[in-house]
Amino acid sequence: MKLFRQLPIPARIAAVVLFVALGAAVVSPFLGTDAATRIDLTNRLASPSTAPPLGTDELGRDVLQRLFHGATISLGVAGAAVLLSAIFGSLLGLLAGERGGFLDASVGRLVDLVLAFPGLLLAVALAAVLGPSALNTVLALSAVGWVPYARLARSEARRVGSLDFVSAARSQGATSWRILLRHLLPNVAPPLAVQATLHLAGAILAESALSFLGLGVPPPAPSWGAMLAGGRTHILDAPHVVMAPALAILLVVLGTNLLGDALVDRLDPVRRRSL
Amino acid sequence: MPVLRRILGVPLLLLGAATVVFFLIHLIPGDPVAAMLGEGASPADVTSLRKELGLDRPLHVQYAHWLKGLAHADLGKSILTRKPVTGEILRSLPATASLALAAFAAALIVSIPAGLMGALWKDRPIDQLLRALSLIGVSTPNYVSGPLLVLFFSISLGLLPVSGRDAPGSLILPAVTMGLALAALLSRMVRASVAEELNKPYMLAARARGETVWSALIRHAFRNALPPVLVVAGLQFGSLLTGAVVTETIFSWPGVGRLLVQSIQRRDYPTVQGCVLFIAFVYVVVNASVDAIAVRLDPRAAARGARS
Repeated sequence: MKLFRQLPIPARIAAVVLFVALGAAVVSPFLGTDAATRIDLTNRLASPSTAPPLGTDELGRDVLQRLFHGATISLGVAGAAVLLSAIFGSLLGLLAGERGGFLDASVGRLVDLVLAFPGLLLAVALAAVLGPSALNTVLALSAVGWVPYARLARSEARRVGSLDFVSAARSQGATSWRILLRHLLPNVAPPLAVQATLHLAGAILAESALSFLGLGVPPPAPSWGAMLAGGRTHILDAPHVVMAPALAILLVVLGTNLLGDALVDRLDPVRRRSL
Repeated sequence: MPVLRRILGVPLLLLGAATVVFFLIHLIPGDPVAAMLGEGASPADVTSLRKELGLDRPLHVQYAHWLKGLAHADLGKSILTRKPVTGEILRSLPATASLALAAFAAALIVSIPAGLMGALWKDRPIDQLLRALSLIGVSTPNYVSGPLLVLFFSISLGLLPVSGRDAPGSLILPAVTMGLALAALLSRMVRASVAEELNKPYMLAARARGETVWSALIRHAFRNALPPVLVVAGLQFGSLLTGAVVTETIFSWPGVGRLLVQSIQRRDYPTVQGCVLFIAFVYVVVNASVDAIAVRLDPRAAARGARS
């Protein structure tokens, strides 16, 4: 709460928006997905009104319900991808930086190789061959997402690893894993946390892009990108079907960026200065 | 010499990309041939397609065959049209190239004046407005901005075509959609880079000689601020190509991105492999060229690269 009051006002608004979205994401699975996937062809493309507040989509499904359940999928998949990327990338980077030698060289080559692809392209290709599912989307996003963590952790591990306290621990016979987890990780965690904050907005965008292209979580599950794609053909007669998920994506990503910038200011003033 | 090493590394990266794309087809769960033909395929069809794609041979033979084909610009045949994939990509290339160049130009036209104004009037209302707009721009993905632009310019105002490449002016909306996020990013870069130069002593000297603010800004500060901006712009050009995958789908723009998405939907995996590899190749070559040019533009960049 103290942190909240220290944030600039736009970041506070962003925090509230994200809190609402996260709330929807957490609560909606308990309400049952029935209302979000029930098809009612007699009530297609109904305009926003009192009954379904945001109207219905091309199959007569309640847009507001779908928006809420879409939050679970879009934020859940993006969050899982960030978590998996951060854990895998950080550990691999730390290990490479600490051990050096062949492992370090191999990780370096692997990083170069993944960076040879434009990020989203590799995710699209992987999602295409693996087939659409929530797990595959997380895997496809993480296959690309771990790289910045690995680079950061590797260079930080090298820097911290050459400091005296690590040499002291090593001379006392501490194992690689012990040095890695007890000494390196706590010291490199803040920049990695900043990276994760910045990564989240990108992951939400990438998940929506994949589901927009029909490569994300398969229908009838509502995901914001898929809702956008579905409503696109009816943009003429029922613009609300497109506007609702478009605004949801925009607000959440804008909120994540704003809050991320504010948190970067607080957590990592050095990085901020270099920007 | 890190730059030289990067350029020498290009063939290696291309080989790596080719290897990743080769293995893509083996990541398909189950039998890739059955997946391509769908459920109703007869066993005879499956066998004959497997033989045609060479998937019945040992992995290392397939890999050697794939690399040998690449050396001759042979990416195999499309399962659907039975035509060479290379030809299909080359047919779609002009559409993507014109779109990417137009988007890039649009981004530069918007971001340079916006960045200059932001730097000159730093922290004044106009700068705050521009910064807010750029934050919104960075946060708006093309699959959101595209439909919104269509809604406004094509449907409400009736000014521009909704999709396709045949009508006059059809390039405008896709190019703006694709260039929007880049414009937002670059205007931030221009602003930061120019603002840094404005504080340098040579600016004071120029003003003392009687140059106007704008003249000093354009002739000195902007010139010095330009190289890092151009490098970022160049590196982002590669990313524009990925943006093409979504933008071309929104606007039914007949480019490589749309070919990729359509091939994914039709399970035409040889074409999918070809498109992914083609975009990755262009990306690697563009980025390496930008690195090489960056050193010529700004020798300081090489020194920085050597230190890091």
